[in-house]
Amino acid sequence: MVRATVERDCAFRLRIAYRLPRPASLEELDEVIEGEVRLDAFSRLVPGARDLFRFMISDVSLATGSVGGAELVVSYGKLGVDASPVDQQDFEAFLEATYGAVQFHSMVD
Amino acid sequence: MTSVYNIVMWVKRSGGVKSIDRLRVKLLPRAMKEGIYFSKVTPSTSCSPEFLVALKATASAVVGKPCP
Amino acid sequence: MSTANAKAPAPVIPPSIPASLDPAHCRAAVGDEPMIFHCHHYNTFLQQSIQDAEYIDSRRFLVGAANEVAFGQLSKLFREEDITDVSERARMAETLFQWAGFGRVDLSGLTDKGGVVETPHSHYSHAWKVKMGEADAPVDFFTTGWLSGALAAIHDKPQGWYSSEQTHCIAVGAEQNRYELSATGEPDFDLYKTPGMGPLTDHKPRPIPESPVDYEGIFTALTGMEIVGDETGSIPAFGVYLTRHYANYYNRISFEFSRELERCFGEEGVSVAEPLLVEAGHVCAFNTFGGIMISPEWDALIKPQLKTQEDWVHGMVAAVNALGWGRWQVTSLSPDEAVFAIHDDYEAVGYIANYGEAAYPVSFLAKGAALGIMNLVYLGDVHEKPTFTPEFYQRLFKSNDSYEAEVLENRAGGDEVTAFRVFRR
Repeated sequence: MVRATVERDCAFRLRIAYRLPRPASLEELDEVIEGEVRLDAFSRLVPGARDLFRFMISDVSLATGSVGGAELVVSYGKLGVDASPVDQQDFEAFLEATYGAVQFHSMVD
Repeated sequence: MTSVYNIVMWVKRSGGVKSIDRLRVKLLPRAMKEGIYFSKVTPSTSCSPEFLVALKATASAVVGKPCP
Repeated sequence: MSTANAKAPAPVIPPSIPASLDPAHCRAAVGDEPMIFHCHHYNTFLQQSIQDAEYIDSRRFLVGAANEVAFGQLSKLFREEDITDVSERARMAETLFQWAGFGRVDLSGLTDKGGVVETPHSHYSHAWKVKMGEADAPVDFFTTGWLSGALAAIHDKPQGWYSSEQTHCIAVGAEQNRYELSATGEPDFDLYKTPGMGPLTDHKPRPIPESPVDYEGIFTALTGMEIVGDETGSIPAFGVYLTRHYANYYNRISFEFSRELERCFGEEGVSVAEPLLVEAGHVCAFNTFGGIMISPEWDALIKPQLKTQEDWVHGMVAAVNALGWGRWQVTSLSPDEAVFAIHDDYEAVGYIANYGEAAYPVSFLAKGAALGIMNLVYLGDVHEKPTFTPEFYQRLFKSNDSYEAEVLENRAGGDEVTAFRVFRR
């Protein structure tokens, strides 16, 4: 099961933190990655740190997570640009198929 | 509300953290003309009717709802 | 000629931005202009605070300050990089604007006589609409001034050669922003000469309490991240929308605002300006620092080192050092009080460079930010990832338990550092 917590980012865009039942790998996530993955190798600089990855799932929706971590945070849309509802639908369909049902934990308006 | 003190207290209670500071900056020239310093307002602080009208309107604007 | 034989146009590779990092001073610069990170909350709140003083002509310095930094920076860049061709200069300017997260501008409609720039991508206009709602009049004074300074630099004209006006604004309901520039030879804003980096000192870091937080590692990691504008000139990072902005722009608009109120209303004017400028620091801390502390970036890089609430304060201070604001230290720390020492904070350095020594403390943003850190960690329990609502903001900064701050040292007044004691009421 994937636990999803809904919030708003600083521009009141929908932002959802998805807690996965196990760490996600970039290979698994390849299906939803649009364009390049930005990888920041924090583990090489700070003991105990995890490497951070960021990738777009559409033109305007950004996913962030860490290597070995089990949380993905997705911001749907950005300042001045709304995301299509399809972004969330498609991404959650992928999560369900890969990690299990997506259950919303709390809603924030 | 018909006194400077009551309106300022209403803004402090009902407004956001920055409301009273916004009130002060918006009304600074008029307040100075009336000899009113917002940091020193007491229940006995008085003002002209014109200032009271401006104060109420500005209070409503910074709080985001009508000042009673 | 058939399309099969047509030569495809060579891809246009945007120029790279020659940003320099000065780890000794925790500063970053482009074209000798110190660049600092700030989010859209601070940008809009600061501007609104200034504009609330409707009886002063703030447009003159809101536009003038942007003209100042654009002209100074681009003139220097064109010289340093030996860019003499006008179209290459324009491309560098466009790239810089986008890189910095201000939006996107296409300067191809401009000549040495002026012209029109239109864009649907403006940090200020979008941010204003989201934060403040629809505006009555155009709000993007920054881009208005920036374009005039940029065009003057591009065409080797005097700094104030181009008047500039924003005629349409997304925040007012337009589809896009529109700016009109004319080579009048007379500026319709105040002209300032940028002080550039200003007078920096040799930092003598002070002893700090024992902490597992790896300050240097965090600084290296964060300054190594690619935090630049995307294809629309937007920088979504740490859950906020950042700009790689100009220290000298913030300083100019804040200090001209404060000095104008002082000129008109004496001490009462200063006493009105200061809380607003400090409040802008609260707003910044709440949103930017709060956003950072609940972000995946924090979880990956900093959180693994943190065991106590004091570690959270150290972690946030370590992150602040990557923002270009100067070198921050917390030299004593407990839930009841803390002392923050800031070496060459950008406000103090800028004040001295522009106006000489200050008669009173001027590090308003820094004060608000220091308060914000303590309120977030000890009052706000930020480690529990609260939701950042206006109600939460009220609770942090308006409660009887909220922290207060006093100035211990004032760099702008001639002291070695700027230092605050932040304590519970």
